[in-house]
Amino acid sequence: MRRSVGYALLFAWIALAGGVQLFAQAWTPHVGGAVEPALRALVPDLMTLVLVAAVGRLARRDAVALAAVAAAARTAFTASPPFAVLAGTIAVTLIADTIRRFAELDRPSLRFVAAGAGALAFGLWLLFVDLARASDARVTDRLGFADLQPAHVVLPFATAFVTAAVGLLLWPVLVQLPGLRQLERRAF
Amino acid sequence: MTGLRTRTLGWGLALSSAFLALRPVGPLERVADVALLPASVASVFAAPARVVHRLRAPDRADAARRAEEKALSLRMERAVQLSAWPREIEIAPGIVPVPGEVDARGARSRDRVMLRVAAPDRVEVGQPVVAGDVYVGSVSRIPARERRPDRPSAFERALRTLRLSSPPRIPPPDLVEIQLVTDRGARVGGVVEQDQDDRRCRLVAGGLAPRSDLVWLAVHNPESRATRSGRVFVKEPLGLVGGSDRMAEGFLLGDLAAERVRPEGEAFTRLVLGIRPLVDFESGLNQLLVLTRGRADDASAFVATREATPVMEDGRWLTARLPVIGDAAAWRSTARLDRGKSHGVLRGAAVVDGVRLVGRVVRSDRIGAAVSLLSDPGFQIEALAQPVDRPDATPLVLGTLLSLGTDASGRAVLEWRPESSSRHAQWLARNGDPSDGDRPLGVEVDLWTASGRARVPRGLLLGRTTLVAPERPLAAPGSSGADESAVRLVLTGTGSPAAPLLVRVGGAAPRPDAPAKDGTVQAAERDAAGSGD
Repeated sequence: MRRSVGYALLFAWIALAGGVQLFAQAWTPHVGGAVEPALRALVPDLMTLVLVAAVGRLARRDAVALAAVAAAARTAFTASPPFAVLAGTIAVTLIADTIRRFAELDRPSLRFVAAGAGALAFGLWLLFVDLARASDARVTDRLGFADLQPAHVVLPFATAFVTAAVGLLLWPVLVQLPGLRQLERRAF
Repeated sequence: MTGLRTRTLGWGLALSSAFLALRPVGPLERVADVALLPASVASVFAAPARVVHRLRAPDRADAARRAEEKALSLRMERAVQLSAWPREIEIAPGIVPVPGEVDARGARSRDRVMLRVAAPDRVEVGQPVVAGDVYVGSVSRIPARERRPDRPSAFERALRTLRLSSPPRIPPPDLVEIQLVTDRGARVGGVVEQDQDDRRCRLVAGGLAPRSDLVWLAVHNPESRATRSGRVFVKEPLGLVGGSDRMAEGFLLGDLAAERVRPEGEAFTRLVLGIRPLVDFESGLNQLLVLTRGRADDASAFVATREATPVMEDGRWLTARLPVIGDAAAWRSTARLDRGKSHGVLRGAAVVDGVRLVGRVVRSDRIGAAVSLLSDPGFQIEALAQPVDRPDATPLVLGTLLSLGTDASGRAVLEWRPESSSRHAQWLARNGDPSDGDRPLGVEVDLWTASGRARVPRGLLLGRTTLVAPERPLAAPGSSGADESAVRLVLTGTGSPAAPLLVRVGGAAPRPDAPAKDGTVQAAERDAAGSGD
């Protein structure tokens, strides 16, 4: 029961991060627009950031469960296929977990690397899925969307850098989000 | 050990999910949709973003403007319907034309189109199909008359019990398949009444001539190899008694032409004889006529089609809203709809603000759907252009437009690549202003959805723009030079995703005499009008 409440609260925090992310994107001026490299990509991937912070704080055996909760929350804010989102969140979790094997993520440099690498991997993966599905739709003459321009490949890099930078600032807050203590396990 | 097991499990799950993301499996996607239903509660956090979109909507339409756009849509529909009727060729006594709207391209071949006809009982396989004065093909199948028994296996029955699969859909009775004359198996007799030497030459036309740069109809067995030019008409001297072969006699096939071309990848040139078509087969077919047998005074076919139905009054719309506008992926422009499969919302359905198209459903689950907005890069739609100052003129068929996103002012930008057989040059010359040289300055047009996309009816407004001809000559898709022939269209007056919306429900358009379902549309329209937008 205690853990269920913890997961529900994690879901709520990631969903809140998603809401803030969309709010920031909506306010972003249309400078350049989506035809040119978009300013919208400079909004940090807050949902990934919350997930990476949770992975850095909680037991490693819970990594997959954390990824599943994050994927569930994220699907409410994207048109990407649910399985693509799930694969992305698991990959982010495992990347953060791999970095954590060498040192705790509380170090600023590792925070930066974990948040940036996670956001970059996630962004590039979703971009690849969009391109693959659009290409598939062209071949099979089915309904297709997200036929992207070459310039779009830059966008995940921009988002990843901003996410990493914001991660440095917000980390102390993110690792102390209320409710996540219920997911912690005792070492002994 | 626990950490290792978790990592192995994690990578296994990640790889499986990645595979399923790239190669979707229907039943598993439905399981995921059901499992994620509770997660949709997260969309409450997107409410502030929705408020921002509402405040920043660039061009909101008031009630008067909405009414005006509906009237314009109806006038455009009438103009399209009128364009299908012959202008110079008189229909022979005993032949009743049955109009039909192109529904979608055939799943098996681009040379087959699905047509929704107004009087399906009159239509038979083999009957010719025309567009204006031009012969375009013949009826090849009537799916509703060739139903196959449904014998599901035990596994399939189990899936259906779990609602993870469904029985095959019964084809709509008004849907017929047309084999275009461009299909490699199509053949029709033709005649050049007067060639370059005033001779008469009979021939057989059908399929495509071996040219990679232009769409030409192939010519088979010409009576004289010396004939090189002239207008080609349909002529079937040996039609079966009581058959449909000769019903299209006198309709046009195109202009005979002969050119030396170099086949791709080869050093030599060879003479290609072909027929330059008078319609854009790739994307120019919207409204067609099936020539059927009947009494000339039989009004049943005419009544249903001469009266155009307003696009929003066909009983297939449901009120909806987008609780989530925006996408976590910065390059996408999508939204989440509050209606799903349980309401009849299926993949591909149009979402509209008044008659303005806002987007299309990408994926639908039980209680909601993901919508790709008009400004989502890669969004594709078939379009027609109608001059703003001449709303009753014959519209120009643009073909498929591709969204590139938005410009610096937040306006949607669409890309238009005219097909090699596009008739835009003549249309722009007819409707454009006097210009410097041969190139018109541009025509201010309203862009409307055309036929050819399932669940997107014809006559929805995309926006207003200025249409100009491409700077370079047209090139066939895939050939070098295709990029130079693309035109960017910046739209104003597009639909607002934050406004009260309507979504298209169901998989098939109703018959013209079908009543509105449960008064849904009327209620929806009242709601939209009463919102003060």
